[in-house]
This record gives sequence, C-alpha cells and structure tokens, in this order.
Amino acid sequence: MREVFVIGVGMTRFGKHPDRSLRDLGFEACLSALEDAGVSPKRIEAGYCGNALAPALQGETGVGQNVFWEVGISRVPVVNIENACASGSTAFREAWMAVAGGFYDLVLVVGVEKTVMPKGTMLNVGAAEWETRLGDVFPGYFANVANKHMERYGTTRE
Amino acid sequence: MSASLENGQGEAQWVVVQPGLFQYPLAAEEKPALLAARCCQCRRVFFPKRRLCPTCFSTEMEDIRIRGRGLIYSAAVVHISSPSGIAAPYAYGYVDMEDEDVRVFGLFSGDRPESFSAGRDVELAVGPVSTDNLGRQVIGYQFVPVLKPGDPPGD
Repeated sequence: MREVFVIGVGMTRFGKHPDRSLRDLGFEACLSALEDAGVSPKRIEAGYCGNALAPALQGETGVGQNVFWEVGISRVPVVNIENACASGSTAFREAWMAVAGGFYDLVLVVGVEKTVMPKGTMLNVGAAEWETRLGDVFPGYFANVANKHMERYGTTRE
Repeated sequence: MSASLENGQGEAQWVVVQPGLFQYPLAAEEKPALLAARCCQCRRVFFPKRRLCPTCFSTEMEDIRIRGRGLIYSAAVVHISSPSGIAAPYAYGYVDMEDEDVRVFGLFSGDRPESFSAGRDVELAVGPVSTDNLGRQVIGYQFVPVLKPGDPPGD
C-alpha cells in the first residue's frame, strides 16, 4: 500500500444557493482544488463524487459526470457515491484506496449537496420505509440519540 | 390479500401504513398486536419480521404477536409536520416491550408530545396516524400512556 497525499483543496462558501446548480457548485470547488494543486484536469485519472439527495431533491442523477465534465474531466472512470451523511467521506475513502492500491496516481474527489427545503417543511427523504411513513425524520432520529445520551451520561445541550 | 389491507368496496376509506406490521382490522375485544418473528434456533425476536436471523443465520422463523406494554427507551418531539403527513407537533422514539426482548420504533400519542420521555410506561394501540393524498385514513400503530388507577381520564 502506498502513502497518499492531498495535494490541493477547494471549497465553495457554505450557504443557501437557490440560484446555483449542483454542477455549478461542484465546478467551483473542483476548479479551485485543481488550481491549488497546480494540476491540469488533463492529468486526472478518475473522479469520485459524493452526493446523497440529488435524485430525491433535484431529480438529478450522474452528478459526478456533470461536475467533472464542467471542469474538463471526461473519458475517465467517474464514480457517484450515495452513502447518506457519509457520502462525501466515503467518496474520499474510495479515492484514497484507489491511489493507495496503486490503481491511479492522481484522482479528484468532490462532495456536493443542496438540502434547503421550502420554509416550514422537513427534509424529504422519500417514503419507502415504514418508519418514514410513521413520522421518522433525520432530525427526529438524531434528537432521540441526543436525548438518550443526555439521559444516560448527563450530557448537556452545550 | 389486498382486500385485507384496504376496505375495498368502491373507494377505499383507509389503508394500512404497511402490510405485515400489525394486526388490522381487529376483531371485537382483540388487543392490538405487532406481527413479529422469533428465530426457532436462538429464540431471538424481531420486529418487523426478518427472514434470516442475523445472530445465528437460521432461516427458520416462527410468527409471533407482540401485545401490551413497554417502557420508552428514547423519545423526541418533532415540530415540523413530516413529509409523510404526520402532523406536528408529534413525538416518537423507541420502546422496550415488556413481554418480549425487543425494541420497537413507534409514534407516541394520547398526551402532550413533550410528556413522553425515557422510562414512561406505554401501551400498544392501533389506529389512524395521518391522511393520505387520496383522503384515506392511514392506519398505523402507536404507543399511548398507560393509565394508572386514579389518573384523570385523558382528553
């Protein structure tokens, strides 16, 4: 296994971006990472894109292909990774494994997500599972975990 | 099969949240029951049912019903109505059942949402939880407070 280095990073501003697409946000982050590394898109051998909710919220699939194409990367393997809240870190791990394992020397990883819902509505994660139909929502689940932790260990809100 | 899941004559008036979770409709005097499974080999209990025991990998399962009371393990209040139509504010969490060694997800109702917290005695109930986009009542299961002798009747 080889040692792996992060040689450049880039990030958009966090915030609500009602007028920007996933492609546009991903493009900005990728371009600044390439510039930071001083690497031409031509040299990227594979792309990894983490995204969880585009199919549900933006009706979009293949986000990675769109983002990498926008930044001039195509005709290389592109992998889209959906792994809930861990989508971005999973994309990073897969990229690391590919380089550590000697499959590629230079890859690009991006995570991009837009989850702002209309005011007063809850993040919609579909209704395929019975718990969801019975009212289970992400914040409610994590609130259960937090309340239990506070009860058991005396953890406070701060 | 579907006749038992919706009341079929003409327009259905109700639908169960998901088939196979609980007994519905209930016969007169029948207590609400969750449809669960017990591994024939290691006796572990699962709700909802599983086809394969993740403890001993046996696929031999027997159907059982879980009724009655439990203790709330954890609870939280949700202040925005759920996308599936559960009206806010509502409370839900997990309940450790009294009769079987199993922890069950469930909505809480029959009292103020804030009144539900770990350690409270609750009892299984079956009834409407929301209305779907066809105007049908969605039948689900819930946990309601156990009334102790001397408690004032609920509202």
